[in-house]
Amino acid sequence: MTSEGNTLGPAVVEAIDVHHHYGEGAQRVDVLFDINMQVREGELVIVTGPSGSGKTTLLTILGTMRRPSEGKLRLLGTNVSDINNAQLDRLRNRVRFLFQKRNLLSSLTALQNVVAGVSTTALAHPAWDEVRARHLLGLLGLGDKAESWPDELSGGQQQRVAIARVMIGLPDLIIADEPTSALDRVAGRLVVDQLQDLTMRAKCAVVLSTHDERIFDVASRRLHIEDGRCFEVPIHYH
Amino acid sequence: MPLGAQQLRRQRTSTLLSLAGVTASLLVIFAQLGIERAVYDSSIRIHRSVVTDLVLVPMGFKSLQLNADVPVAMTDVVSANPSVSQVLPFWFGVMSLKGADMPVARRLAWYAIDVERPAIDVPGLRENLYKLRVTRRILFDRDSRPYFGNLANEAEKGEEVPVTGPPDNRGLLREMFVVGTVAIGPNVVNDGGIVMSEASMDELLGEWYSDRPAFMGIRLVPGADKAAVAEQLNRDLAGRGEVISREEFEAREKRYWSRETPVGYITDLGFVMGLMIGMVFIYYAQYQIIRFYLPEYAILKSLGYDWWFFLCMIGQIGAAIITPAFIVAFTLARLVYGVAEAAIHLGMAMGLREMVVSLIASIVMTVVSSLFAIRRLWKVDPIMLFE
Repeated sequence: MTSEGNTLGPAVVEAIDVHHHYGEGAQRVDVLFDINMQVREGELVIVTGPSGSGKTTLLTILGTMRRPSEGKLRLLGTNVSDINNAQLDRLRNRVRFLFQKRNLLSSLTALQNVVAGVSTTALAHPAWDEVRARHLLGLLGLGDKAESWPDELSGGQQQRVAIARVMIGLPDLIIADEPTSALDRVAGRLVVDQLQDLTMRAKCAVVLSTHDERIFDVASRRLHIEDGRCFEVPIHYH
Repeated sequence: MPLGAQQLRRQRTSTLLSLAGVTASLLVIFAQLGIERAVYDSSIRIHRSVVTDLVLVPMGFKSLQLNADVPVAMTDVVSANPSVSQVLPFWFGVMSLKGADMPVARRLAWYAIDVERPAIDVPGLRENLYKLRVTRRILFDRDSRPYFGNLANEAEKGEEVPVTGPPDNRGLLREMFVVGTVAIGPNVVNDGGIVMSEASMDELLGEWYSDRPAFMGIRLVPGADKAAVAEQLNRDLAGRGEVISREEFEAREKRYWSRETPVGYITDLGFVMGLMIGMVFIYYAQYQIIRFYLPEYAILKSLGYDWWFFLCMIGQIGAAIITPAFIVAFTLARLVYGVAEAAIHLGMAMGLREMVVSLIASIVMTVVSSLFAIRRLWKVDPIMLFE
């Protein structure tokens, strides 16, 4: 299931014989079986599958929020099973997440939310981060919304602010969990276009779970999960 | 703007409640410190006015209020030391006094001195000392509580104001004359004081007092080593009295009030209660914010923010509450001190100690409540954002 496109760089994240289960003994529930996959620099991989198929579990494992029960996960060449929690936290700084909703901090303005994506200390943010954040908001068409509170923004605008926050962190891997499901068609399109643009410009890898067939065209590849097993399917362009 | 303070602004009800609670608890702390200072300082007013280098006190001396005394014969032992130039006896006791315009007699402290060699120096004493050479003439403490009518004002006009003291052995009240004033101040147990000569003391209270001074001030010859002389005198006295420095004299009195009277326990208990109540209110605000913003903290965790950040943020919330609360409590405490001082005359005042101790208490409140509050954040897991 490896894409061998000429423009793609080395693997950012790689799952090798990954198996995952919740609970133990009689309570044990197996959710992922023998997952083998890799996502390279500049790739946008869409993950589809019905509810309960193991999509979210796979995303959390790829994003190193969970360690797989069995098998190996290599992120940026490091086997996450071989490192301690502090090292894992540092490695996770190279990963950014985009959620379906609840992406923004309600007590910070749009600009402050973007800056929060790069300054992970309690100290005052350097002025340079603020300049970059304003620039990114401008690129995403939110230049005039920098001082707005999240509850003053539409769902699409909130997602674009979240994308700006992802972009400012210069991540190697973006995990996006159904980022367009709460948006209308136009707003959803804008969001995935930005993500696609990001994979091309910043050479990062994106793993995006969705049920929305209208956005499949932005994907480099599409993986489908069913009953915990993952396989690649061809993309049908609409 | 710091995130914690910004979140606090958006949680107005719990913020205002916490502010009020912390302000009240700081006010309690200020009040306890003020009372403590007033009690301790008023108890050592005489000690501070002693003019000698060393003090001879009863063996194991704790407090003047315990009415222990030193045999006057010890004067010979002390005077025999070549480094001692003078031994100045001082007598202390408690009696009742009634002026013409007082409805009832009030309890006050009496201090008796050798008029030629007074062991203490308080404002008003030197210029009025000659008046005490006539027996039954006394100097009234003008800083006494206002239960003694117009006594001080009349005495300061230069008149001899007749007052009655304790009864003699026939039950008749002894007459005395106030001929001037001094400034000493009352303490917790006495509403005021008077100063008289040793001769007046003998006549009014009985000659047997002369043999039993409360303490004796010891003045040394110039250049004498205080510690060495005290050590030598203690060896010579062989347990019949104790020679201590003036600083130790004050320290023992303070120690007695703080450790052997209910005052110390009550003020310490009030202080601790104020501290704990303050912590609870700060924790309440922090807890409310953490509960409300839990999913947002999960976002911050997913962005790689570490525990140090969260601890600082929780600390910011605490600091944002404690800072205005401290300013308000400090201002209110100054008013409370003023009102209380007008009533009790114990020298209750806002000093550096009160400010520093309250500030430290505020910092302790914030740090401890923050450490408790951060435990709530252990449960935050960014996985919850996928659900």
